Amino acid sequence: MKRLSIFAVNIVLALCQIALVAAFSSWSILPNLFLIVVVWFVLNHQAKEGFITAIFGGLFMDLYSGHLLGIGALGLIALWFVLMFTSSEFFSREASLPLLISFLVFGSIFFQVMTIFQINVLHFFFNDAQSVEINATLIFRQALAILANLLMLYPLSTLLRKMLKNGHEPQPF
Amino acid sequence: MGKKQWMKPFFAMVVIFLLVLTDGFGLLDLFKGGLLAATQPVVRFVSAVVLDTKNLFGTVATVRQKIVERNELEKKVKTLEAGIALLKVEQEENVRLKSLLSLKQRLPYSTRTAAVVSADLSGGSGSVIVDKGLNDGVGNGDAVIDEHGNLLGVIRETYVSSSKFSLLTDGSVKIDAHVPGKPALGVVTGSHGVGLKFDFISQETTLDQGETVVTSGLSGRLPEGILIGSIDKQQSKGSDLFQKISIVPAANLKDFQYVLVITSF
Repeated sequence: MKRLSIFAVNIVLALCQIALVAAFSSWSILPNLFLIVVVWFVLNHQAKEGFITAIFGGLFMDLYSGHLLGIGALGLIALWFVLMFTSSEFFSREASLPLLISFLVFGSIFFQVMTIFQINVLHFFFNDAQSVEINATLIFRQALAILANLLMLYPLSTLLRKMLKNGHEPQPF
Repeated sequence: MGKKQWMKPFFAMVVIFLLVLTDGFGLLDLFKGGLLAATQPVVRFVSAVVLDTKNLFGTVATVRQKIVERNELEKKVKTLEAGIALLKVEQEENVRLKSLLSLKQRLPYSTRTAAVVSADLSGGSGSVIVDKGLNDGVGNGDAVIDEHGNLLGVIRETYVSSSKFSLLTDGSVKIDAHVPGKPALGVVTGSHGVGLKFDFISQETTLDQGETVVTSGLSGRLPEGILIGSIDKQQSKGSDLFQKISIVPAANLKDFQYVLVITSF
């Protein structure tokens, strides 16, 4: 895929994420579009695009999240590594929707656990870093966030297929 | 993926981890501030567009709701207007009935209150039908007065439960009348449904405009002293045998719903 295409995809994703935040500002749970796209890229054998999206998206979200810069990016990169190892077991030219759903649920849980873990670990090192208390409310909210990600999976898949129609070929990293 | 190919992502991950640590020590504040400053115009623009669109949809929904509410209110207003009109009619009716009742108690005659059933007020026949008749003691020749006590007309035909009276202005009506305080006896007659004439008055009598004309009671069919109208204009010449004067009726002959019929005096 051309660099311009992946750049365009990331810009569009960033704009969509901003729009989502603006449109549903009263909701505390929003889908993470970058996470969905990283999963989609990896399962569709676009490893390089998935990695770039993980870095760009992670840093972009961190910039506006109030966390330390890089926490989200690290979480998405770690997810990318895990998906790269596991998805090779399910290799096919194009990932089916059930497979995408399964990996997205797994990816969402993994990313959330990673983020909470990082924040809590960093809390010990840096006094000004926030800590996250794990309780029933948090678990419920994270479950809703996974649901929100799942809801956005199909429209995003369709959008990505249209945007990358000409360059959708499996490429090595 | 070969081992070499894993190196690039791993190296990038290490760089990001160092970035986190650097930010943890507060060394990236300037960099983050610059990035935020650079991206904020776009973020603000997109947010503003989304919010405007959201508000637009909200406004459209609100406008639609307001239109529905306005239509419902319009319906209610129309219903209330109809109710108010009905109340006004009833209020007018109430006032007139009270006035009639008050007059009835003051008058030294026996009267019956009657409601107008139908009227030809165009001036053609000048007949009015009321809902009291023979059963109520109403008889031909009885005087009909309004709520102020002014003469409206005379009963012409009576039926079991209704009767018809002719207005003063009807040409067939002839009433003995006089001007109080003056030797002016005469006959008031209708003038083609549009006015009244005071006829057969002696030429020796001088009458002024505005003087009142009342029933004289000489015929014995109407009681004395019921106000008919006031002197308007002299219509006769000096060479005529009698004076002929036009009269302005005291009663409003175009607007009445209830009347009193003087059944005995």
